[in-house]
Amino acid sequence: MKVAKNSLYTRLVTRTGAILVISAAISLVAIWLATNYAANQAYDKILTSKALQIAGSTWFQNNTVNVDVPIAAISGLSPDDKTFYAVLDTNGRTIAGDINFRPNIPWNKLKNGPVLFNGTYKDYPVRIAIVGRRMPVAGPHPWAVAMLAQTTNARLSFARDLTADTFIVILAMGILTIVAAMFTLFQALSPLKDIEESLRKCDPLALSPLSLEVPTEIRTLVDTLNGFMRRLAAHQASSRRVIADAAHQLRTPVTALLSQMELLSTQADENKKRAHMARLQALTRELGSLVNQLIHHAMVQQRAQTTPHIPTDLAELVRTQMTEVLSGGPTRDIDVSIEVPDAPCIVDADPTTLREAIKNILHNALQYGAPSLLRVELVRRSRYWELRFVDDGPGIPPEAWRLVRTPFSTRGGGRSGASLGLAIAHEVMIGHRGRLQFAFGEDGLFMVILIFRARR
Amino acid sequence: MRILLVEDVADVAEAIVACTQRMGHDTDWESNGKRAADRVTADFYDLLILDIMLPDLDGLSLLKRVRDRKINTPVLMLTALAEIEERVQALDMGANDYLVKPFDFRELEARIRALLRQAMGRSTNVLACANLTIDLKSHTAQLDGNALDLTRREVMLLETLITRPGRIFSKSELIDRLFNIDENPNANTVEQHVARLRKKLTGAHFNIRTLRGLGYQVIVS
Repeated sequence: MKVAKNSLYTRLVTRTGAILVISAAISLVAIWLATNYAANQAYDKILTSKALQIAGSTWFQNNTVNVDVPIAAISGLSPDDKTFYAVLDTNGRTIAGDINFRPNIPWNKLKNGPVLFNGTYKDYPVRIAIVGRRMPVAGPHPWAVAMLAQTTNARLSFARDLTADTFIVILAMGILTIVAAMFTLFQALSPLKDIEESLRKCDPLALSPLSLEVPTEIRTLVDTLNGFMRRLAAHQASSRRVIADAAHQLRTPVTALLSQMELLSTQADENKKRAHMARLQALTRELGSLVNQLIHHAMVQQRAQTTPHIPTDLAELVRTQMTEVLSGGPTRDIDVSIEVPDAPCIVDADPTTLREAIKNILHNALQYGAPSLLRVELVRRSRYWELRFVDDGPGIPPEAWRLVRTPFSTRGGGRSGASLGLAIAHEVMIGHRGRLQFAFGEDGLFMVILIFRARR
Repeated sequence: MRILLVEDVADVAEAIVACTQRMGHDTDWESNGKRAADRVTADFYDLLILDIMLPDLDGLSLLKRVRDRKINTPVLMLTALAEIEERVQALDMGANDYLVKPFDFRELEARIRALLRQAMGRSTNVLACANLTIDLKSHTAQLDGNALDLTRREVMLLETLITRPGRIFSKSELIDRLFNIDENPNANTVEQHVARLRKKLTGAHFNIRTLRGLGYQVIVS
């Protein structure tokens, strides 16, 4: 199993956290800009009104501009800020206030009303308001000018305080949101923990499905897990059965072998010795074929689950297999024939296991049936191919048809081996989504029939 | 005839050696694949019996080395491997026959006899089956010592069939061996030849069996 670097939980928390931090930063910047703007607006209004007050207290008399500066108004502006002012007459001379305070005056804008701008005075960043009052004189600048400047400490600290307050609120909200998100995530992920817990607790041999109450989102996960467990349980059951059967099937003949050997070692009579030897040979031969069958049975089961099917010419496969089985086969006089269509008969199959099934049926027929006739036919029945093995032997009685499909169901009648041949063929046919059938034809001949889906 | 057995299980080897000696052959036994490869350098042996699982060099690689040296000695493979593909692979690589363990010694004898028959024919120029003998040099056949009146093609057909009694030869296989393309042969031609041959072989202690749809096979009675 590959393990991702971070857990699902950490990943979700870091991502949610990142989103929250970014949105908080954006809100803070926006709030900083907005409060700055609002503070500027408010302070500018006060500054302008004070400048207007100063301008309002000028008058013209004896061809000169006079002023009576309302000091009280100016001094009450702001306790934290320095304030500078100056009043100029129409000739540009300072008639009141700070003589050095001479910012650039935008003359042509004076007629439009108060002018506000930023500047520097005595190394302080200041906000300057300039108001002109028209005087009854001729000349380029008929203005008495009131100039009022104020450092920006108050408005900055106002904006800063407001932003800091908002920041605390946002921070508190953010922490709350993260905690809530973590809790929700924890809750959302908790069914996975439950599954883990119940999987850990459950008996590895039991393989019972999980009976957990889970949200719909992970219902499928639990269903899949349960399906997997069911398959595993079925597989386990079948392999347990096979092992039990195999143990019985193998131990019995080995015990027989040992018994015969024991008899042989204590037997003095030469004739009886020979009989035991013959029995030993027969038993060993049987054991050999049994082991072969067990191996083939295991192979068929394993391949059924792992091997993909490929397009296979059934006619060619059955012909080759018959040639192989009958080469060096029985020497009795059997009428053997095979009838297959000339054109290829294609089915989807695993040729290896299919060959095994066909070989077993042929061996069975030759060993227990077919005293004088063995006919193999391949015919098309609508969407299916029917492969029939016909022989003139006694056949299998209908009451045993079900039994012979089951592995290790010994049928007696002097048969040796584990009765696996037809059981293997049956399993192969199931693996090919086909069928193994038995029948007696109208002529009384016994038939083993394999039915395959034809490839479209 | 000389046989080399390469088998690492002493119990099995002992029995095979005894079996082949009973059949009248000289048998050398080698248990190591690499040492066996060093021994098979020329056509000294008439038959190689190779196990697949061997120390140092496995049977299939050994077979490949032998065939790479252009040594055409018949090879019988013994295998305990379950996968059928493995057996087929061995045949593709130039093995002449194979036997799956555990095997019956009567079966082993039959296979050895069949494989040696060709080698024996090559050295003595005589091929025998039951009471029939074929002189490979003069292409004549005798039944119980009496000369048979067979055409050259009938002798070739008989030769092919009795080299491996029990083996099924398909019609197309026989056509390939007996005719060239110019003669435009077909399945009927083979049938006619076999029918005539059967008639001439009355009294033989074997018969040529027809397996409809598969081919022909010699069954020794």
